[in-house]
Amino acid sequence: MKEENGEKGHQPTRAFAERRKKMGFKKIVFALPLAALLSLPVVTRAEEPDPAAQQGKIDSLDDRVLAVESDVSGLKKVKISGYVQARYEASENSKDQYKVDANKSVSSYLNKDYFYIRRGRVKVTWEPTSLTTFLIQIDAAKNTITLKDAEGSINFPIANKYSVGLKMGQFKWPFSYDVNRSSSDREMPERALSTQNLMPGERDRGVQFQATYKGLVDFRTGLFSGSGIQNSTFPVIPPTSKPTWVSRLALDFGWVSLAGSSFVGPAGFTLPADANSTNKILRRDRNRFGADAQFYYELPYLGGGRLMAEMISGKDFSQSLKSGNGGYAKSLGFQATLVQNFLDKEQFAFRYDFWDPDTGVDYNRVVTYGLALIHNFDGSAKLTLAYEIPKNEVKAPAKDPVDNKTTIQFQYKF
Amino acid sequence: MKRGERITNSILEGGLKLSALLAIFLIFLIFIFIFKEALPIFTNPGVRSEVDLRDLFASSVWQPVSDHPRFSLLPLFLGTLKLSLIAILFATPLALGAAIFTAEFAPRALKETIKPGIEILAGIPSVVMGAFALLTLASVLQGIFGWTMRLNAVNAGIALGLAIVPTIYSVADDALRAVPGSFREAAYALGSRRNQAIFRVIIPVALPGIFAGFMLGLGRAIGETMIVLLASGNAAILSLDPALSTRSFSATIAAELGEVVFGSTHYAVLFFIGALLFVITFIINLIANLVVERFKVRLAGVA
Amino acid sequence: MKKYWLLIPIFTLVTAGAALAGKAITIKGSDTMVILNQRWAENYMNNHPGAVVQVTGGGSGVGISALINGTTEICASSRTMKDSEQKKLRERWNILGVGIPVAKDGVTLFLNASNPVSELSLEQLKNIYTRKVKNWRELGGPEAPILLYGRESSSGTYVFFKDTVLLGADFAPETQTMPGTAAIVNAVSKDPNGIGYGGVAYASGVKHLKIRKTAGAAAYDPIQENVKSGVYPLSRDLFFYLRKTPSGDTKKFIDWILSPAGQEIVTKVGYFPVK
Repeated sequence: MKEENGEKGHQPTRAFAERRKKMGFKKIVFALPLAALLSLPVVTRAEEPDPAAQQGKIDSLDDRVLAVESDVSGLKKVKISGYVQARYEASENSKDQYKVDANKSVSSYLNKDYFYIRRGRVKVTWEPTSLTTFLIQIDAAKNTITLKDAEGSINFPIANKYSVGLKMGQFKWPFSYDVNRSSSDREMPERALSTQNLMPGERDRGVQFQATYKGLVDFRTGLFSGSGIQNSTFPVIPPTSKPTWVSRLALDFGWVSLAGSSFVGPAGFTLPADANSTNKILRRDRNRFGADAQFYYELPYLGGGRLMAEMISGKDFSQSLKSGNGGYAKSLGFQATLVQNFLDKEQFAFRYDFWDPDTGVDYNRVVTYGLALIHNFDGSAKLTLAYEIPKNEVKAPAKDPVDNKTTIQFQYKF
Repeated sequence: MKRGERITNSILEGGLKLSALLAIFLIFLIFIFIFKEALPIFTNPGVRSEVDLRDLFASSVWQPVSDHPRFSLLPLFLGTLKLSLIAILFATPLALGAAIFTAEFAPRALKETIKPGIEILAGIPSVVMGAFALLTLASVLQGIFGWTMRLNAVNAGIALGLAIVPTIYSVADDALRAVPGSFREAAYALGSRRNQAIFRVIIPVALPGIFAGFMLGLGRAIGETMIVLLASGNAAILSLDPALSTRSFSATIAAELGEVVFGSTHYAVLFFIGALLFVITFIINLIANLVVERFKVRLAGVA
Repeated sequence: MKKYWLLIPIFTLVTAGAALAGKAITIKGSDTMVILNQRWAENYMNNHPGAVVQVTGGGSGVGISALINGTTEICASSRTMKDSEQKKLRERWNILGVGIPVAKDGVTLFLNASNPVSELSLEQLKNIYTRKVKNWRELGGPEAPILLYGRESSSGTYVFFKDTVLLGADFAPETQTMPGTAAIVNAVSKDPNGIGYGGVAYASGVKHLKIRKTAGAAAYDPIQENVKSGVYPLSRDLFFYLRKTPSGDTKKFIDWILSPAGQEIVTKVGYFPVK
């Protein structure tokens, strides 16, 4: 303003020409930023989606993600996962009752009104190449840490349809659907009695061959020590030099899957020392056969559901049944579970569980009815409320003991 | 001055000052924003591992969406250069001729027709201009010159030239008219004919103003997007041949920014191009501004 | 006697009540479909006051994991689910996923009407767009250079073509990129040696190339019947995956998508309708 006034004052005679010239100049002055703006129409457009909020987010993410990216590419092959189950159990029985197992010894006390950590699993998976996988799973629910799985496997895909592979280490027996299904997926708090009794611990050490065809056929067969990780002698090899042969063939058609399993091998028993102070070892046949089927359906409005059924038979030698040369107990288990999803978060499950530890003996069968309601908070957290009613077959005038059980379990999976 | 009047005055002045500052502030913000988005190219190790400055200027392929993305700015830079050069070569004689004619030769009635006519040209949306080049101009040019590539630098350059004619014209026209009448009178007094007065006196005096118009036109040609996007074929070929399809900086941003992943290398490179464009147009406009300033001083000084 | 079992009806009532409360329809998945989903959502919400449809991208794989985790109701996917994904879904939801084809993605190749070439195989197309073949003579046409037209890298068609025809290879730098299928059609209609691809089934002024899957196979026109039946090699289904057969608001939304009004948007966005 001042400058202009000064100029005007200095050359008053040029006012007209000056003004014309100035107009031109002003135009240019306005045109300058305008041209700069016009020349960047697209760049400015990028500002549109709420710059302030977007900017902050992008900046922090950008820095963090990109800085970590190079490290991550190396660590990508290592995956850590796991789950924790915290549980409250309440039994409807008098405090001094306890449960007696097939061998007539106290197996567990029934007055379980308490909180505990059922499972605290951590699994580390390392996939150094697309063909090989190493896996270690530990359980830290008790005061001691126990090794659950430790395996190395190699898989060769053939023409996108077939694959063959080999696995070694400690892992689940390829037997039964119930055994191989992760406890984090199961609706009921525990596996069926038949599985618990015939396949204790679910795992063993061995080597396994696997062949698959698309998603349709899955065949696994392997040789295992046979004792299982819950055996008191584990991991010491039981007094049998022969391994147990376990196989499972599963066909999966999507809406229905069928499978048969076998478990054949000897079990060894050490007899009390004889006069010569030598321990005699008995080697006796042991086998299990199983068949299972899962059928999936959908109810309108509510969502998917499944009916799964499984049957296992077992043949075990029992020293306690008959002393010395002994006899065999033939056991039979059957379970059927109906799971129905209820909209997005809820699931409802009902299980019928039949278990006969020795078909040759009366009054030892147990039928357990179980009901479970599951609320899934999201993909990783769920709350289970289960009520189980065991019906023990007893000889009159004895009564079925009061042993119904309520379980509340919170599970977090990562 | 009454008190109320004074208050009104100061409010008015304050408001105007505020809006002026705000405009500058906003431009500054945009400037900051663009440069900040482009910064990862220099600072971010993740981005730098995919592209560093050597890749940007030394290699020859622009292939941002690929298993092995390559971000060479060279073909784009060459394309931008080719396009704006052709545009300016086409537009300057046209605009200058028109400006000289309307400022000096045209009878009043004709002047009143030509000037608004050219200004209407400025009002044509660049999309329309681009579509015209894509559909019609390209075929005409191919018919005349027989090029293999129908959409090429010349086609887009001419369309671009048409778009910047009004810019150059109006600034040049203003510059010519701003030459004081005394110059003309002096020339006539010295015995020069009309043509001599115009070409020896008036145009040389107005030349800096004309040059400023030329620079502004160049600035617009470099930044223009839609015409180039439609009419140039957008193939990033590293060649000086004007008969080949060409990809420019601005068209690259327009075409790719819409779907680019936020924060990716590609995103940073696009903003780097934006910053580059900003700097280039800024320098060009600065030169134009300085030249005009000098022109003003010169006119005042001579008088 | 402890009455813990009383918890069961309480639990049921509480959770069922929460589940029945109304909520927005969420769609997550394929980046190819994100624009299409957005248009559907906008139009549907305009015509159905009160409806809320939320759309996010991220890719088909991300959408399927979200479906399994229960964080989205609808997963938009430009591919079918893998066996392993289906089994994961089944473990939690007891269903293999309800897949509903909602649109078809396809690429049509355009030639100038004067070009004598009328059929090409996918392999030949790959060679053309990677500049292994540079002259129409090599494909049974006239002695003339091949001029390539394509879409910008930001378009879904670009990605589809790169994936299915070029099998991941890069386009030749000589490919002239156009901002839309219409611009490509225009350019090719004016350019006797041009070849271009785009997303719309029919365009006037150009010739539609018949495509052969392999050198010996039959060639198919990109007409709607061929795209629908799947014999035209350059087409794929775009799916919505759900965890159950749609009901209620979701069913209304999907029914609308499959209605003429919804399928009209498919055509507008540049895909083929399924109905």
